[in-house]
Amino acid sequence: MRTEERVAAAAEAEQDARERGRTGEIREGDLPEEEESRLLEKTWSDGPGFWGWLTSTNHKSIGKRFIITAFIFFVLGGILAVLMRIQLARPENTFLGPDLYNQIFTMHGTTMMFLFAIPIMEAFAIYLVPLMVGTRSIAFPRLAAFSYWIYLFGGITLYVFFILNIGPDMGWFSYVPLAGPEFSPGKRVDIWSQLINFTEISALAASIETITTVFKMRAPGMSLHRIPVFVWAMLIMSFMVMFAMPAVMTSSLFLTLDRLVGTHFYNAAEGGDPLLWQHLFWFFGHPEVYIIFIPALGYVSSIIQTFARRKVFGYTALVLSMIATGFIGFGLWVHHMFATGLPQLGSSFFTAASMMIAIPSGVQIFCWIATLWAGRPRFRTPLLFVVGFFFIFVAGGLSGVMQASVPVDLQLHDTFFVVAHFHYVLIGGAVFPLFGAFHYWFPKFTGRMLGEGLGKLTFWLMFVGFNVTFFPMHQLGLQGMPRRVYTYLPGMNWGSLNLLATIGGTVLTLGVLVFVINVFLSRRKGEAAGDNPWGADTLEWGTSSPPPAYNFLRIPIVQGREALWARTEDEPVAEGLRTDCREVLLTKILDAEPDNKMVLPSPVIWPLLMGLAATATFISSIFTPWALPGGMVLAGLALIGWGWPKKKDERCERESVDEMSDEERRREAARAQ
Amino acid sequence: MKRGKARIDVSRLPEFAFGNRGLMWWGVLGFLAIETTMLVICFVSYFYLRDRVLEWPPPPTELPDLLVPTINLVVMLLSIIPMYLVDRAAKRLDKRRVLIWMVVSIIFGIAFVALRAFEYYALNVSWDTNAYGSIVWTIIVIHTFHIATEVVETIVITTIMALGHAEPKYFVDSSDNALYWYFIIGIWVPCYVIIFLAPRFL
Repeated sequence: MRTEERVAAAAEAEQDARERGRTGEIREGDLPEEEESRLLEKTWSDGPGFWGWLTSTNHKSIGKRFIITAFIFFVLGGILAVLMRIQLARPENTFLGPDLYNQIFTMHGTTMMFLFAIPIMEAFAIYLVPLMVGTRSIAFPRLAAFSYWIYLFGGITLYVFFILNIGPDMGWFSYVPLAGPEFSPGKRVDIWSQLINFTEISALAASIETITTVFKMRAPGMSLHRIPVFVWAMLIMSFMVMFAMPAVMTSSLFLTLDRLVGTHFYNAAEGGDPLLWQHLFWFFGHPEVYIIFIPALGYVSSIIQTFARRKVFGYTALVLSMIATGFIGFGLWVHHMFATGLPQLGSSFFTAASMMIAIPSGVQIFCWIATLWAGRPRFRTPLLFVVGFFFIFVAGGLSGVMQASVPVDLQLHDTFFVVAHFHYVLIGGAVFPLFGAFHYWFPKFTGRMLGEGLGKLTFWLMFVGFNVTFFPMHQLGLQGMPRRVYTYLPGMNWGSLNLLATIGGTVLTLGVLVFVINVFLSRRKGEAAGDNPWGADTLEWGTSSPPPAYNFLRIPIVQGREALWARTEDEPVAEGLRTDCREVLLTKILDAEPDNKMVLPSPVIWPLLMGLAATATFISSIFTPWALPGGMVLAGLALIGWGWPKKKDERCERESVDEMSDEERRREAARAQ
Repeated sequence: MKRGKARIDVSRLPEFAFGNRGLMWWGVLGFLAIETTMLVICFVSYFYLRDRVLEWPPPPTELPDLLVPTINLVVMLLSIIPMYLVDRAAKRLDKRRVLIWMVVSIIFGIAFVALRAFEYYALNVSWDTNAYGSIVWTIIVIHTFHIATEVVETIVITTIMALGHAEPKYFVDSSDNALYWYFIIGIWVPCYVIIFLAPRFL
C-alpha cells in the first residue's frame, strides 16, 4: 500500500476515535507557529533545576555530557602520558618508580580505550544521529540516560581506586597468568575487570539505541541509499560493538571468577589455558580498533563533503568498504598473538586477513581524494585535521602492513615500534578526525563558531607534536627498546630519541591546551554561527544552533542523499504529530515510509538509580561473590520502577482496550499488525 | 525544519504496532543478539578447553546425569505453547486471554526455574574442580540469570495488566516479551546439548 492510501484508509478509523471523544490532544498545525514551538519546547525539555538535570532523557543533553566527560578522561589519560614521557626523557630517571609506572601505563591505556575512545564515539552518535535522521529523540531515551550514568560511575570508580594506590598495573590488555590470582594478588586486577563491565554495558546500550534509531526513526524519504555516510558509520560501529563487546565481557567474567571463586579457565594446571584469554580479549580488542576508527570515517566523510563543496565521490563504494572493514575487522585478532607460537596455517590466514583490510581502507582514501580533487576545497580547521588524518593514518597503516608479516612481527613484538604503530593508527585514525569533528560541529552544539586562528594553531601544534613524539619510537623499537619499561641504561643509546619524543609530547600537549582555551573563549565570545555556517548538507544543519529540545519544528521529507542540498523550494514536511506529548514518527526500515507513531516515555530518575544499583553491585563483587545475587535484586527493583506505569504519562497514552467495543478492538488490532 | 508547504499528514497513522513495526521489538532483538553472542563465546571456550586435555570430562570427574535436565528441557519447550497463546491473544488485544495464558506461562516458568536447582546437582562437578567444571557452571549460571529475569519480567507485566492497565502498549510489551521467552528457551537447547550430551561423545 502506498503512503497516501494507507493514510486514507486510516482516516476513517481515526475519525471514529475522535468522535468517541478523545479530546484535548494538540497536534502540529493546531496552533500558530510561535505558540506551537513554545509548546513543543515545553513537551520535550528536561524538567527544571538540578532534578531535571538528574532525570534528563534528552539525547542532546546526554550527548553533550557524554562528550564533555569523555574529553575530561582524554585529558586525564593525556596527563598520565605526559608523566610517562617525563620519566623516559633520560636514562635511569627516578621521577616515577616501577610500581607507579606500571599503574600509570595501565591507567593510560585503559582510560584512552575504555573511557575516552569508545564513549566519545557513542556520544557523537547519541547527539547527532537523531538530528541527522530527522527525528525528535533517540529511540530509547531512558536507556541513553542509563548508558551515560553507568559510564560516569565506572570512570569515577577506576580513578578513585587509582588515587588510593589500588590502580590496575598489569597493562590495559591484562594478560593472564600475570593478571591471574597467583601473580596479581590484591584487588587491582578486579577493579580493572569491573571497569570493563561498566563501560561495556554502557557501550552495548548505546549501540542498541543507535541501531534502533537508524532503523525505525528516519525521516520520511530517507531510504537506505540516502542515509548519510556518518549515520552508516555509526550504524556499523554499533553492530560491531554488539558482536565484539560480549567477548571481553565474557573473558573478564572468566577472569573475575578465576580470581574470586577459584574457577580454572586460565589455570593450565587444571585444564585451563592462558591463551584462551588472549583469544577472547583480542576477538574484542581488534574489532575495537575499528569500533573507534569507523565513526572517524563518518566524521571525515561529513567534513570532506562539506568543505569540498560537492557530494562525496563513490557513496556506495564508501559504505560498502566500511561494511567490509566491519566484517574483516573480526578476522584479524590472531595477529596480536603471532608471538605465542600458533600453528603455521593460522598465522598465514591472519596474515592474509591483516593485509586484506588495507583494501577497503584504500578504497575509502581514494574516494575522499577524488572528492577533494573534484571539489573546491576550503581549508578551514576541520579539513586541516582531515588532511592530517590522511598523512598520519596512512603512515600507521603502512607500519601495520609491515607487522602483518609474521617474521617482522616476531622481531618487533612488544617493542616501541608497536607503540609507534598503534598511536599512528589510533591518534591519526581517530583523534585527528575527532578534533576535526569538534571544530566542525562546535557551532551546532553551542551556536558559536570555534576561533579559526586558534583552531589552525591547535592543528599545527598537534600535527607537529604528534609526529615528533611518535616517529622516533619506530626507530627506538627497531633498536630494541621494549615497551612498558620504566627506565633504561645509558649504554643503550636510546636517550636522545626518547628526549626528542618527550619534547614532541610537550608540543602535542600545548596543542590540546590551545584547543581547550579556544573552546572556553569561543563558548563566550565566539562569532554567532547561525543554522548552517558551513553550508553543509545533512539535516542537523537544517535546525537552529544549538537545536531546540524538539530538534525540528516539522519532520522534514527527505528528497535526496544530500538532504539539505536536494531540498526543493516548497520544503516538504510531515505534519500531524502531537505537540503536547513526546510523540515520534516511526518509518519503515528500507524506504522510510511513514508507518506508525509512538509516544516516548517522560524523564524519570530510574536510569540513575539503576546506574547506582549496578555500581554498588560491581564494586561489592570485587570483594564477595554474594554481591551478584544481591545486586540482581537491587537492579531488578530499579528495572521494575523504570518500567512501572507513571501517572504523568497516562495523559499521552492510547485509551485502554477495556473502553473499546469489540469491533473497534478488532480494527485497532488489525491496524497494528 | 520550518513549517514547509507541501505536507504529508501523519496524524492518522496507528499509535502502536506489533513486531518489527514497533521500537521495543528492535530493542529486544538487540539484547537478544548480545546475549546470544555471549553464550556462543562460552560455547567456543568450551570446545577450546576440551581441546586442551586428553579425556573429557577430565578424570576423575564423572559424566553429568541426564534425567532431571531432560525432564526440564521438556518442561521448558512445553512452556512455549502458553507463551505463544499469550502472543496471539496480545495481537488481538484480548486482555482476558492474555492474562490467562500469562499465568499459565508463569507457572511453567516457576517450574523450570525450580527444576533448574536440581540440574546443578546433575552436573556432578563443582566449578572449582577443573576447567571443565568452570565452563559448564558458567554456562548454566548465565542461563539461569536469564530465565529468572524473564520469569520476573513476565510476572511484572502480568501484575501491571491485572491491576487494570489495558492500554495497547502493554499488549505490545506482552508480545515482545514472548519473543524474549522463545529466545531463552531456544538458546537452552544448544546449552543442554553441550552441557549434558557433549561430554558423552567428546
